[in-house]
Amino acid sequence: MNPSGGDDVLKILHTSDWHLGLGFRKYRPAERERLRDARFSAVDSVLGMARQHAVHAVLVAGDVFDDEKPSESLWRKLVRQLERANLACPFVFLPGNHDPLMEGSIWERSHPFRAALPGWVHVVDHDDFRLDLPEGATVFSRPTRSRKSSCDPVQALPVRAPGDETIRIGLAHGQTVQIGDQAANHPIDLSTAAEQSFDYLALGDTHRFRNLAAVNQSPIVYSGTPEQTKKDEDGAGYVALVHIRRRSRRVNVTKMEVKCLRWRSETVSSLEALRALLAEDLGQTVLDLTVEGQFDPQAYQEVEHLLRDLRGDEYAPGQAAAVSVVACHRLDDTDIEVLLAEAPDELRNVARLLREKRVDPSVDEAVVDRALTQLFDIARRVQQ
Amino acid sequence: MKFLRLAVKSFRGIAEAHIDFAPGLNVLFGPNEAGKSTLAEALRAVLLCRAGSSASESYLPAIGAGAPEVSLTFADVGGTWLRIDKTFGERPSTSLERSANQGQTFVREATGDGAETELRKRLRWGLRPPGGRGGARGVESTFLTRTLLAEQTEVDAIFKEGLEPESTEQLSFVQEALAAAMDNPRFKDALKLANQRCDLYFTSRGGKTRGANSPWTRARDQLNEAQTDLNAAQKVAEEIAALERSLVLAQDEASAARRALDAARAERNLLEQKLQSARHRELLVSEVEAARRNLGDAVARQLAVEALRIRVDEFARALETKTAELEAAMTARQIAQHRREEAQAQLQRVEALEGKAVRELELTRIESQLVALGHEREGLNRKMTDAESLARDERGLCDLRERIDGKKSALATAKELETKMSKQIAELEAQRTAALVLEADRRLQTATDRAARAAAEVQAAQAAAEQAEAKGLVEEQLRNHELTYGNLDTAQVERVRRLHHELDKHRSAAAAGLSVAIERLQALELGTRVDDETGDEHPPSTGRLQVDARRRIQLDLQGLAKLEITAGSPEIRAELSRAEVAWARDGQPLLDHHGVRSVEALEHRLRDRMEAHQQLNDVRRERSELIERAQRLAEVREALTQAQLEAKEAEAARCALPARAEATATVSVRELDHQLTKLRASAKDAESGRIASGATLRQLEESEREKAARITEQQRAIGEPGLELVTRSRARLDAIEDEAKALQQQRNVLEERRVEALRAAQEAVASAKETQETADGRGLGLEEDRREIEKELEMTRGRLMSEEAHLTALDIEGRRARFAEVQATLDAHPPISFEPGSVEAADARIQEAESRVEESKGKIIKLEGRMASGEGGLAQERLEEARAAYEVAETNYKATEIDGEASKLLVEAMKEAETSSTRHVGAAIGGKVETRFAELTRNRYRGLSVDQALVAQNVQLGEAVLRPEQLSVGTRHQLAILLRLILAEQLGHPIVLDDQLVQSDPERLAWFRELLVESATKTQVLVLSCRPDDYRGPAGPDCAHLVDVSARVKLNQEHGSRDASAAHKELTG
Repeated sequence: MNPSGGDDVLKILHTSDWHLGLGFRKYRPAERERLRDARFSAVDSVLGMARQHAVHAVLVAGDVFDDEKPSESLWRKLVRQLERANLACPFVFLPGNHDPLMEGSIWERSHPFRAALPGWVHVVDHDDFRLDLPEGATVFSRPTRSRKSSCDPVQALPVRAPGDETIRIGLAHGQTVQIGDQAANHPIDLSTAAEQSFDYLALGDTHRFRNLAAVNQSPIVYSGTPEQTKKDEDGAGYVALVHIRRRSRRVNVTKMEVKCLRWRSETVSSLEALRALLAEDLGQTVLDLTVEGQFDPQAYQEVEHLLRDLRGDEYAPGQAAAVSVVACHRLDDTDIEVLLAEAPDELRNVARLLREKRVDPSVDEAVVDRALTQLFDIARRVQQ
Repeated sequence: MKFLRLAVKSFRGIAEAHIDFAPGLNVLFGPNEAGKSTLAEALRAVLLCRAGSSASESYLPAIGAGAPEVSLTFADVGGTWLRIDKTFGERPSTSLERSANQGQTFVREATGDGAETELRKRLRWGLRPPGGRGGARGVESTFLTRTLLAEQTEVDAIFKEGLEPESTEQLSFVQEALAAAMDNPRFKDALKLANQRCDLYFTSRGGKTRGANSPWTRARDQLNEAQTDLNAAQKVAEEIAALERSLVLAQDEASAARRALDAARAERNLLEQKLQSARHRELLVSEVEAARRNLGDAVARQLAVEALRIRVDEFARALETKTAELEAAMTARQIAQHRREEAQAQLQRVEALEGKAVRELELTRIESQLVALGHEREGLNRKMTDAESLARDERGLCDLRERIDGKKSALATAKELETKMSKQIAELEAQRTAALVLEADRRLQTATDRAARAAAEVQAAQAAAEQAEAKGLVEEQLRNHELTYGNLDTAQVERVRRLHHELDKHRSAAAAGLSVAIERLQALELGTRVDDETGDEHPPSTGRLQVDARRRIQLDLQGLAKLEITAGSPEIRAELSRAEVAWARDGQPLLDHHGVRSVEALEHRLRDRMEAHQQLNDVRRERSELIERAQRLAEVREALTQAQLEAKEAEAARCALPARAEATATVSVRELDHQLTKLRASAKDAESGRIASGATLRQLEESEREKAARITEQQRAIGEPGLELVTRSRARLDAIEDEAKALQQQRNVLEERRVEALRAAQEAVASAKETQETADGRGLGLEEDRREIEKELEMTRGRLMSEEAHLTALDIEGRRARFAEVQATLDAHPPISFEPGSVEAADARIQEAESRVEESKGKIIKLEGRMASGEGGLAQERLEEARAAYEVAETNYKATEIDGEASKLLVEAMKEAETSSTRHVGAAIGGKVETRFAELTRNRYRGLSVDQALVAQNVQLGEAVLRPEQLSVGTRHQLAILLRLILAEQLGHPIVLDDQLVQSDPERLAWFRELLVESATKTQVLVLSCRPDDYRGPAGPDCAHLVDVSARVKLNQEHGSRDASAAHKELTG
């Protein structure tokens, strides 16, 4: 739905930080693949949204790839996606600090990727890049040429000439804030940016959706990544749908969700909670699970089984798209001998011996826990 | 294992015996001393004692001969028949034979120790191997031998010593035997499962498993991969961090350089301010100069005004003088006129007195002619006068013009003079500046020289101080010398010398006395020899003398040695000894004291000492001088500081002046100033003169213009040019003159006479006229002078008035105040001292700092470039990602490790549990024993515990826990037999009970009998008893194989036959 109404509205879809080919090395190979695929799915969503809203241009504000030299299979996959989408509007790729325009980079004109791109795809590959949109608006941009820089990428863009009443859209990649004691990379000075007099400044780098403009100021927007790259990136998974009135140059920015995956961090300390969690559909969830608390051998064993099912293995996929488990739970072995009442005396003796090992400083308690759990498991199997 | 047959020969009391055993319960009965226990001993001997052992000596028969021989046939656990034969005694032998046909034939298997070894191997009772060190000696005793073959008196020996832990053979035998009883299949399954799990992680050797299926492989691969990634990321991050550190360093350097630059600039600014202050001071100095000049000008003006006043006064006085002179001149003229008038009256009187008639006629005619001519001439003369007046006027005009020209040239000259004076002033000013420069240079030079001299003096004073110090050292040395030899003085030496001299003298005297004596002796000897040779040549007196002399000589010769020591006569000797005493008292100690041997040396030392003393005095003097000079150091330093200060001031003053003197000024500034003031005053005068001349010139020019206009008008009035008319008129005049000349000549004659008369009058008139004219001239000159003076006076007064007015406008007091003010300001700005070249140095520092800043900037740009082209901002992100991945991999690996370690721990624990169960074979067997014991004691005793060494530990009697030794003998024996029986059952080995139930009551004995029957179904039981009825219970004798020992044993004659037969009777009866 067009929130501005009327047909004298310029529609732009602003996205950034696709990070195609991101490593996800923390996860197991199958999960990595799943997470990487999800990023392409998010790109599909972006393209579908562009088509659905019949935007006049799509702006990708940097970090399309996680590396400036992605594998051929990766970029071919993107090319295929773009070809399938077959957008009629201009589509602009800006190199970011992850995939800067440098020697041997994918954005170089000589790179086969460039030749394979559809004609409506533009790459910001020169410093005075400007793209006139059919409706009398202009996109100004400048490629990111290094991973790290202290130059303001917005300041390098041309300012509005006196009397210029056209719609000016800035496209840049950089940080507006200083993180910790490190100086901002490709720093963007917001006050200077405001002085540049863009009707809309489309930024990339930050993964969360943010509008940094002050009240009554033209929007300065980070669309964020369409698909979260790690936990604690709340506010990621969106694109910005921008409506600009031609005459008044009033801008309206809408945050549109495109993400496929949900990133969750959970801590469970009871078997019931774990059961309840795993009863959910976690197929599109990247779960960061911490298990804590003490479990009797039976419950402990079930926890272990549930976690195994959650993780999956090479033969059976896990329940979640990806999962990382921090197991801090402990075994409560107080009643183990009672639980082993039916077991042979020797196994009870073994349990006793193992519990005695807890006072042995050379033996890790976790090892004792696990050994007791294994003993419990074996005792049950033997009984069966 | 079963015993099958026992054959005994010559063994203790037994002469010969043959016993065949049944598989189950064998009751070997016989009366006491029938040889039952000997048979049991024979069994122990053949099984447990080495044939050659010394212990076997006890087996020798007490009666009769022959070596003891025992042969036991038995079937081993596998059912193999074996026979062990042993011969004890002097020729011991052992052999082990095997039968494959149930004892029909035997094949020897081993002999000697080999047989022993083989036997032990089959028994597995923990017997030590035969021979060698630590080998078996005597009858071996182990837990199992005590269990199975206990002697009669050792029923409960197994309570005292359990399984020997070192005997693995025995242990494993027991364990194996009891394993079946203990085996728990479910535990075995559990162990198997645990092993399977453990095998996933560890190999049989305990190493970690490898290969694709190993959990280690997966975890390690993941960890390695993560590690590699992490290392790479860390490397990159470190490189970036290093770059960043370098960047920070470079930035620090840059800021340091910037700070240095700021500091250098600040310093430069400070210097600049100083410079400005110095310049300001220069300005002040110039202002002071200007004010001084202004004041000087004003003062000069004032002086000029004073001069003008003086001149006005002078002029006024001159005017008065001139007026007086003029009045005097007028008086003189009046007197002269009066005299002239008198002379003229005299002349007229003379003229009136001349011959009137002739002269009057002639004169009348001539006069009339002359009158006619005179009329014509007058007309002409009038015309001519007019023309001449015109010509005069023209000449006057020309003169006027010449005067104007003269005035102009004078003005030009005055201007030139002024220019020249200006030049001179400029020159003089330049000379003054130069003189100032030179003076400043001289002052600076003087001050610098003074400073240098002062510095040199300081250096000299310092050097003097150093020298004084050095001299102090020398003085110290010399004082030491003085201290050493201080008490040596001339008088002492003189005394010593005198003493020595005395000594020498007395010694010489003594020596001289000696030599005189010797000479005399020689002379006498010579005389005697001569007398001897010459015979009678000498008078007899001579001969006496000779004798006397000889006697003396003799005496002398005798005292020669003495003489040599005491030197001469008693007086001489007395002197000498006095001298020696004096020497020894006063002389020698001094020599010793000074460590010299001779007086010369002492003198030499005295000389040295005097010299040293002299040197010391010199050094002290020099040192005090030097110290004095050094003490002057402070004031010299002060002088130096003063001189430096002055030098700095001079330098500052010099700095304020031009760099170099343009000209060499030889005249002093004061002179120049004086000259300059004078010259300026002259220039001023000249200028005012020029201005006055200019006014005069303008007046002259005005009158010239008027004159020219008048001449033009006159010319116009005359009608023709005056000169032509004059020429024409002159020609006519000349004619008239010629006519008049003739007349005149006549007249002249007349006139001559008249002239003669007149001359005197005329002379008087002329004289009077001259006097009058002189008086007039003088009066005119005086008048002129007076006018001039008046004019000058007026002019000077005018100038004075204007100068006075100007002077009032000049405000001398204001100028003086201004001068004082600027001088005070200047005094308030003390001269600023500059280190020479400090500005250049500051500039150099600025340049250096700037270059450092630039260099740092370049470095920063380079580093930033390197960071930008490398991983740069992503390094930290990548590192965090790699670290997270590594942590996950590490956690996984840790989990694998925990799993593996846990499986290992579990298996170990299970094995330990299994082992501890085996060790507690006693506990396992304890259960059986406990049950039977409770039965036996009708549940009086329960809860028996047997430890892992199979030693019964405790038994519960009600609530009390008792040790076995606390039981009654019978009960204790019963418990021991129960334990032994059950063990024998488990081991399947025969057990020998040598009359060991004697302590049991009939009830318990009956119970035991049943037990024995039951046990005999499991293993062979040999009971030796003197009461066979004890074993004939309800089960009947069928259950037991009864062996009458008396029938089977042939005892040694004297010993055993009677007993045996008696016993037999007892038993059978």
